[in-house]
Amino acid sequence: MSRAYIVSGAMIPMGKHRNSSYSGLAVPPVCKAIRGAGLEPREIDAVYCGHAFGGMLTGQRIVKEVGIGRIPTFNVENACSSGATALHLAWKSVCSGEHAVALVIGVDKLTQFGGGTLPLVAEDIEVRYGMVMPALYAMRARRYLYERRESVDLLAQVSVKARRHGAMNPFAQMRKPTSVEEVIASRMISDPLTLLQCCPTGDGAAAVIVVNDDTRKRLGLPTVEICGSVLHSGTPTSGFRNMLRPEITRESARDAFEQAGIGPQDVDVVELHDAFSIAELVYYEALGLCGDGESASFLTSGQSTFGGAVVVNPSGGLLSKGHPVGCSGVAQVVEMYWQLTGQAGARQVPNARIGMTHVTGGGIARLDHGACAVHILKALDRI
Amino acid sequence: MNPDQCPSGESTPNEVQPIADLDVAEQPSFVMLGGATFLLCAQTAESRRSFPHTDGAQRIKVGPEGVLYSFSTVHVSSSQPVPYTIGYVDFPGDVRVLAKVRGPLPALRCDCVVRLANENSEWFVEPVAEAIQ
Repeated sequence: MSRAYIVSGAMIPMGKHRNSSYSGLAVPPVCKAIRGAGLEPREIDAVYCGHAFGGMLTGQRIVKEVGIGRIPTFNVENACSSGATALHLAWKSVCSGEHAVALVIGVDKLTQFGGGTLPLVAEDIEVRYGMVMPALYAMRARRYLYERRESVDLLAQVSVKARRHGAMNPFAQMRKPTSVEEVIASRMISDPLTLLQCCPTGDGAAAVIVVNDDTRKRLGLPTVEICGSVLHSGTPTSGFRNMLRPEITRESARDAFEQAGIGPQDVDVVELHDAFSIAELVYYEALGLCGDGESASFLTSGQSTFGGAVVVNPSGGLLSKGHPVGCSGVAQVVEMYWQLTGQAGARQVPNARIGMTHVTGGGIARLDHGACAVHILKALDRI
Repeated sequence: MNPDQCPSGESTPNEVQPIADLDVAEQPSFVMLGGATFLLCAQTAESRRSFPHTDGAQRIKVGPEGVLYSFSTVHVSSSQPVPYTIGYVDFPGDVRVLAKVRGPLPALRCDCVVRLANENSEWFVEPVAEAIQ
């Protein structure tokens, strides 16, 4: 048995890269991550590639371009959690001793759909009745505003914070700061969620190198330990579900903290799944960053930004950085690697030592979400 | 011996035939009883799943009134012409159904009482008179 560590990570700027194939998107960060670890492609033992819309053999189509073949390549689809699921599997393989060096890729190209909402699986019964992802979160938002007696201004403040953070991130797709008024006045997508409360459509790719103890010592690089890695599926029910208490995220976070031997109060920086403004508020509570019913004041009092109790989404999150579905879980971990090794530039969270990433994939009837992955990462060495 | 423990290659038993769940007849469908609209949904006693033909699942009748848990009017959709309004409706017996919602939007709010209705071959919910007032 070994522990598993991240010794290198890279991503491309998120955006609309219509002229790039899946390989064109992913090869640059793959090469950068391998070179950053001081490794040669032949030293990679296994490849784990997360994507949701890449089609057959996405991982092989990417790594053949850098001369990687013969070794096992695992293609992983788990909706928004695809990339994080790939990391989870790599973590398992390294911890078990099966592999010493694993390459993890997250990649997706949403511009292939030409805009609009994410195409969900048409055979799902709720999709046939008109379910789209913005509507799912919009219903969650409406219930939140109703139960908590809040206004849409609160939702807009999430987007304002995301853009403020994203303005400092050269990898973010949306870098222009915004205001509450601008957010509310933007085009309605699914009432009460307006355009600026929804993550942008875009393309992206990210890669990290996961290694075992021996390799970590040999490489001597700034290192982050994966001290918690949890993957959950949703629990089916055909009855009542409290949309403000997503059990899949609550249980994943609980198990990840238990695995890491720490609690939410120990976390310095979080990248959570803010695909829509309401999501950030709901996940503050579900991840344990604040108490139940406290998410509004947690945001408005500045506890989730620089200078607060924990910096949530310093990258700008999915709302600002972008959300190329299968890429996001790995991109979050790259951001966390940079944060925990002091390489995050203008958006560096001071003295960040422990970080958490969270992605959850939805769009399936009778589950609150289909898959959720939570990782807890700890800094070992700093540059 | 439990027959499931001894699968045979000699025949194709009925219980391992594909489920034609894409047939319209297998989806929640409405029936008219006493002038009111009811839904027929498949559900197990434990409320864990509602897949037709799953072990223990039965068609149960729900409605005609339920409570609108939440709703949204969709203005951008990859699957249907917009705008349209959908919402989760909770019926007695711990049955939640995603439904098309009709009626004056100002009358809609979380926890308002809605009633099943139908037009041609489609079913939907609309707020009852008390919620409109």
